[in-house]
Amino acid sequence: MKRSFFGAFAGVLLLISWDVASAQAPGASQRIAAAANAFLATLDSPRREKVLAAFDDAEQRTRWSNLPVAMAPRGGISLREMTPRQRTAALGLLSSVLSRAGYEKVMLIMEGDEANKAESRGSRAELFGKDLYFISILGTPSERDPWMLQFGGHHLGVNVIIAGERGVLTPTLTGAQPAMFTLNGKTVRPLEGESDKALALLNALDENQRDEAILKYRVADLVLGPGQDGKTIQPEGLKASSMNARQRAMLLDVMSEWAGIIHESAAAARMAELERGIEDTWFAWSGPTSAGTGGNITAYYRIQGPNVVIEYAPQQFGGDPALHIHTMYRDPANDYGKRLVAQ
Amino acid sequence: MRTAVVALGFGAGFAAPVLGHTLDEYVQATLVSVEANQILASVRLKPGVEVFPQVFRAIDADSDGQLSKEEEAKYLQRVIGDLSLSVDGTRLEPRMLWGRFPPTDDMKEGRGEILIELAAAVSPRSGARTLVIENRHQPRISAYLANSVVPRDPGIRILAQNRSNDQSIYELRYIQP
Repeated sequence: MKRSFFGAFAGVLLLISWDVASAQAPGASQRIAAAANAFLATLDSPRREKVLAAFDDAEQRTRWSNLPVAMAPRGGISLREMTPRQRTAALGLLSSVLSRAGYEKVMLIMEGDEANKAESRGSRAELFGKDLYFISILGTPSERDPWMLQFGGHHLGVNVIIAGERGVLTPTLTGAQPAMFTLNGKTVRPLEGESDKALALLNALDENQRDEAILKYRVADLVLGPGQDGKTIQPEGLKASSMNARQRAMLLDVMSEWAGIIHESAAAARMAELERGIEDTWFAWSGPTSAGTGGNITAYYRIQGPNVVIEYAPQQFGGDPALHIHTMYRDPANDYGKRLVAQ
Repeated sequence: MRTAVVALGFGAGFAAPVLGHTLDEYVQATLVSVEANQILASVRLKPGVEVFPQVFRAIDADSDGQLSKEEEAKYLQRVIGDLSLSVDGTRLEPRMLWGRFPPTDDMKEGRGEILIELAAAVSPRSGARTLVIENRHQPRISAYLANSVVPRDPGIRILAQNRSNDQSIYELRYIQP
């Protein structure tokens, strides 16, 4: 029996022909380039043309959003437009670029959008679904020279610059709606770590630290969301130099939820960079200090350091903010790998 | 064969899905940049789809259902008029560098942003200074964000940022060399 690409989540993982673990090992660049070329080889000429863009195509580079694709069109081609073989190869490429945990997170975000679709009526259902995610390649897949993979749709904008063994995942947007749902009998929260680890860190702070970390005003949305490239805002909250070693380790662990989306060797380098800047990294919190529905926090928080801005922003518009979350992951000094490419 | 089984187990907390953006608020985000002799401010105004009709009516002065360039220009000026900027207690006179409206349909669907770039001259002076920005535009439906970018001039050092709970009032204290 031929299995659908969009089978159960575990089934999707099994269908991936690329060995995710191998992306961690030396030679990740070769495997990623091979996965990219294997995907491109499955495409006919019109689809191939749609997928490929120039590496310096600034318009395509910034064509990502939290919005559904019908409202904010993406470049490339969608999974819906692909044959099963093409979809398998596309997700094989994605899985080679991401860590196992990162790939699972992306799959769950897409499953959440499928849940959105199931709950929608009429034409609104056309706005959602896990086949409405687009893939594009900027530049020429290479084992050495920089190129870029984009994968995104509603609540997802993964932008990865690949340059040899190195990789840069900023800017990347993740989100979830619903941020908790039942999948194959199990309750899942795509952004569980982002919520729970941050709350654990807040609870690990003493009274004075909390007083510094907790902002005295409401933050209604992302400050540096889509369209806000290249900006660095003044940091606020509690500086990690005022944290103890355990709290700093917890802060790094929160950041790993984003830094660890990319494949393991690039993630390790990124975590080392974040650790080097930890003393100058700030943690700010705005909103309730306990969890909401299903354990998801309803507070906004921001982590900002020399090479990172992370925002977690529950969406407050009449519904339950614990069930609709936007997050943003940036490196103002290296968004779209500009520092990496300049080397 | 479709094998995914997706069910929402928390019906009480999760109503019909809504689009991935703020619906019932008019988000107004101000980002200021402090320079030695001027304040630059970028204001992004994004009406959610539920409040769009109210925002549209405020722009469409002749109620013909269309936004003319004149109506858009007047609205931009009204937004600027609803902003007050002061440094060290002296009221500033911001001038619009440029303003841009998205297509009306984009705003109607909740994805369009009105953008305004402002500049206000400030008398250069060394020492501690205080910038205050108050946004009084459409307070009943708005959610405000106010932030400062890290100054381009490394000699300017930000000391503190204070805000009202809804961020409609933003105070920035800084040291100017």
